Amino acid sequence: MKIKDLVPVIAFVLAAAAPLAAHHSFAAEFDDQKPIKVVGTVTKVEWQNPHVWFYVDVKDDSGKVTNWGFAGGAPGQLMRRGISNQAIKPGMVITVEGFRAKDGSNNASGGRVTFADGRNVFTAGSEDRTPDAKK
Amino acid sequence: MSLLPIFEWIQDSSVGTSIRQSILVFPIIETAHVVGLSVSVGLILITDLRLIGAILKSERPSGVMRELRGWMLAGFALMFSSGALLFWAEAAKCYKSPAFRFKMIFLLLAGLNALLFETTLGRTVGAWDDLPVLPQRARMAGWVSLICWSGVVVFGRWTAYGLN
Amino acid sequence: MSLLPFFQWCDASWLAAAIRSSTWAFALIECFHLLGMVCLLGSLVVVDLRLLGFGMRREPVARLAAALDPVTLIGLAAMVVSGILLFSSEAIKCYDNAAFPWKMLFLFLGLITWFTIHRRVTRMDDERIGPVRGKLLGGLSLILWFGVALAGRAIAYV
Repeated sequence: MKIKDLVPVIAFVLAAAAPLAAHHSFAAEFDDQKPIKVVGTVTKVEWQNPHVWFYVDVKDDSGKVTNWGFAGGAPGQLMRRGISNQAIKPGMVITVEGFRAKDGSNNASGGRVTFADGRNVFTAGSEDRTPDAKK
Repeated sequence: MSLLPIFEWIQDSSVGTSIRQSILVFPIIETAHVVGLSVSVGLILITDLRLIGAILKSERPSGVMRELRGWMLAGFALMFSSGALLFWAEAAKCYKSPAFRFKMIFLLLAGLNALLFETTLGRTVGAWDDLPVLPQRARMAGWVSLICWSGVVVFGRWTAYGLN
Repeated sequence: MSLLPFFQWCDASWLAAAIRSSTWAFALIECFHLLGMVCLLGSLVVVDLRLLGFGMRREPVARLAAALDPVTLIGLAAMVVSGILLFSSEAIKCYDNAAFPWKMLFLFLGLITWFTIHRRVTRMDDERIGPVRGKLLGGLSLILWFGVALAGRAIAYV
């Protein structure tokens, strides 16, 4: 059993080298140097695995509307925090704070959601950071 | 002609939707998929390492394959059934995902490689499997299998991570 | 004694920041982690199934272990190195996560078992191992290492 016989095994492990613009986990998908805070109207909610997604129409100063997608945790994670699948509904006006996607798209981690009545919830995956709380 | 409507129909079905929106079912299916792949691809790794002549050179490749076949198939059964359920829940997302398409290409190549091996070298195994150095086509089959299954695993991981 | 300062130090390291700021680093490192897992579990399953009396029964345990332990070690090395890198880039997440301590516990027990009892017993003759000890060891080893994998997957869901 010589080292050279193990080269194929090592090659197998190294065969992972195909750096596509692939993602996952906060560290891979979102940029913690690019916080974002928007206010807008919820247009769509997808309460699903592996990530909950909610979409918000945001109007900028010139009146142009952009639809932003925010990724949260899994339904089970949110349920354990007391956030039900009725928490965010289309039509609600919410403030969302999170971090922008690395690929520059109109997507971000959906960290802190503040509702019109002032309540707020942390809807992000457990790993997501909130702009204020970089522990 | 786009096939997307078909995959959206699958994804939006009641079974697909309930898996996707579940609290426990989705994580359990995904975990079963990881266990299934660890066993099946893990055992394929060992048989492929034998075919390319890297390990277990004292064993006949046919012996290694025969002894591990049952467990490998059990791992496959778990991997494919859980994979089918995950696909049911996310069919449209998979269809739109470049990573998933690569995964399927590598899976198809892995299957074709196995089929080719079984129908050619596999039939004459007694003629070559106690040679100290296996025929080049057997070693090639091992290498192709290693590369293809690595591709399935890597692109499978990247599929799970496409943004919406 | 709180471990939080250690986790904060890891999270704030230049290595962690470099991984987080790269578009591809995390995904690439994760591939090594996953392929390392296939090497580790594939080789371990063959040896532990043999200890349990399944799979390659005509081979002495010691001969199988001698052939497959190097594959296990390579997989383990890949997983530990990639794991440390992945951990550092998300150390605070791991600190806050309910499944992470379980993964570390299973890993710790798995490593201790593998480097002591497992190595010792799998070098013995089959008769000396005996059916009971072999089955207990094979079962324990599989439970611990698949426990690492399951707890690791659970991190994303708890």
